[in-house]
Amino acid sequence: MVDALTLQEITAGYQGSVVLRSVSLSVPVGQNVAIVGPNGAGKSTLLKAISGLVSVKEGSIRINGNDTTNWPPEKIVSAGVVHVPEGRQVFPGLSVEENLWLGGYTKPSRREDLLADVLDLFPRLKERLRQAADSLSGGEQQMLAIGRGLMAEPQVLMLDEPTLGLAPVIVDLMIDALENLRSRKELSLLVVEQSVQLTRGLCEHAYILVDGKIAASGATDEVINDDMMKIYLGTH
Amino acid sequence: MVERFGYVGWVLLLGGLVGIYLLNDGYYTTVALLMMLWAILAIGLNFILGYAGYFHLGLGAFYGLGAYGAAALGTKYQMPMIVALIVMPIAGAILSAIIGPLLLRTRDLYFAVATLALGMIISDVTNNWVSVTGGPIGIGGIQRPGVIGFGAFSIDGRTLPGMFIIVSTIFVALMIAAAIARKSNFVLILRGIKSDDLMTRSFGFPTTVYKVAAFAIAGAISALGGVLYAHIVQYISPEPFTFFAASFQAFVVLAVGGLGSLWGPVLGSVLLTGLPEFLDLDPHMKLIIYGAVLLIVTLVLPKGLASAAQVISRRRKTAMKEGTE
Repeated sequence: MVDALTLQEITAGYQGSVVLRSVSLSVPVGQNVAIVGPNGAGKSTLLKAISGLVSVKEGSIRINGNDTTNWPPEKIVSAGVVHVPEGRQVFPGLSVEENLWLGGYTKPSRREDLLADVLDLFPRLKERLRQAADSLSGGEQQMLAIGRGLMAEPQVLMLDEPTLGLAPVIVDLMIDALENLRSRKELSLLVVEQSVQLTRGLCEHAYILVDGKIAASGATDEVINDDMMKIYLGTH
Repeated sequence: MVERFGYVGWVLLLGGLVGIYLLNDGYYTTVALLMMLWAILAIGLNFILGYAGYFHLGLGAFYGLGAYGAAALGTKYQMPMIVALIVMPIAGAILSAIIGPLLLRTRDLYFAVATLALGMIISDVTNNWVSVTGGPIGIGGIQRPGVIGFGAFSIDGRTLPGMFIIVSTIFVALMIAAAIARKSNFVLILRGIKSDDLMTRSFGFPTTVYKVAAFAIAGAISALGGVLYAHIVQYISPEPFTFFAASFQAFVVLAVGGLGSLWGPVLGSVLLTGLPEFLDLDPHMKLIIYGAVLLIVTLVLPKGLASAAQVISRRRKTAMKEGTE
């Protein structure tokens, strides 16, 4: 079976500097993958390269077997990969409903169903539909950002640090919601996360990214137990 | 509160227009025509500035394009007004669609400066291309339309009341279109762009296309305003289309009225066009009072006149809360 998302020896970065060096990775259909690693390893850049926000210099990205290397972001979304960026990015000044509506660009005819689905997953948003997005709490904004990503009915949903800076109670809520998503066979998650609790509970596979290179990969439990401490402590 | 004001707004607008027509006073009719012209420019500007958040300071260029185009079509080619009404907004939109992708590569202050330059170029052209624009002397003798319609329903476009009906009809139609557009996904996407362009792109919206469309709509509506101006005043010269006379004034009208609101352009132009006309004082006093009112409005209602209802209802709520506690 063709993987939902495959990266083959990706080299990418910003003007004048290379951040990712020969990164290979694959996300099987319906399975969740975690990317962990220290700050500055290039985790966010990796997601940006996949979603077309950072240009890829070498290597190829395939979505369902189709080469999407350096496609513009809007076509990546249509191809089925949606990026929920770091730091609860919602549209300030727009209401919760309008935020969700904008997420449903690729599936205009299914918007109503998808909206009901998202509100089912995050009941808190239902109470706040008409409220301005920037008046929500941090956790609610993160829910909104994820919900908005789901509005595009993606095959791969990329989450960049979904629990960053959230209160522990909210982190639990977030994990519940994301585990709820796990039962969906057609959806894969690609999660960049520092919280070991979340990655263990959620992801089958994990990749450790250090200094722009994949340092280790495999089943989440093994990778995170054995290799991670060594890498963080610099004894790798 | 806002919804309710929407309903009241339409009644006031239509009532006001009918009232001024029935009053049949040349002076009030002219002032009302001016108000509608400024409101039209502000409605156009609202798309690119109010919704998409791009400081378009070259509106005067498209306003001038509409007016000079209408003058040329009318005086050189003897075309009726309806031709200019159709051709010039299309020309404005096409010109915008051509230069839009270039200008919209810039943002914020850079976009403001780029569009400012556009306005300057048009001012220079209208002043110096004497064979076409008549230079500083301008073009006179623009013919208004004749009698339109039959029998009791006919209006005489040559008279001021006739012109008032034509402009009012176009204006109300434009307001209805603006109200529909405001609720559309198109405007929602523009607001998304204003809020965060990169993020809107990452959801799959080709934002440049939307921005160019908003820029083209602003250009088309401004050109429409220019056509109406040429037929109301029947004489054009470079001065009314310069930066301070047109682009800047349209920005002030919209900013005072309320960026991104439906009624902002109307409220702003009623206050800013109406106020100086009804302040029957010596010119210096007039300017001082005008400036003071502008200052007070922007301080008390930073989101514009259209937000007044919201602000008042919020104040009342807080006052009630304090009363019960």
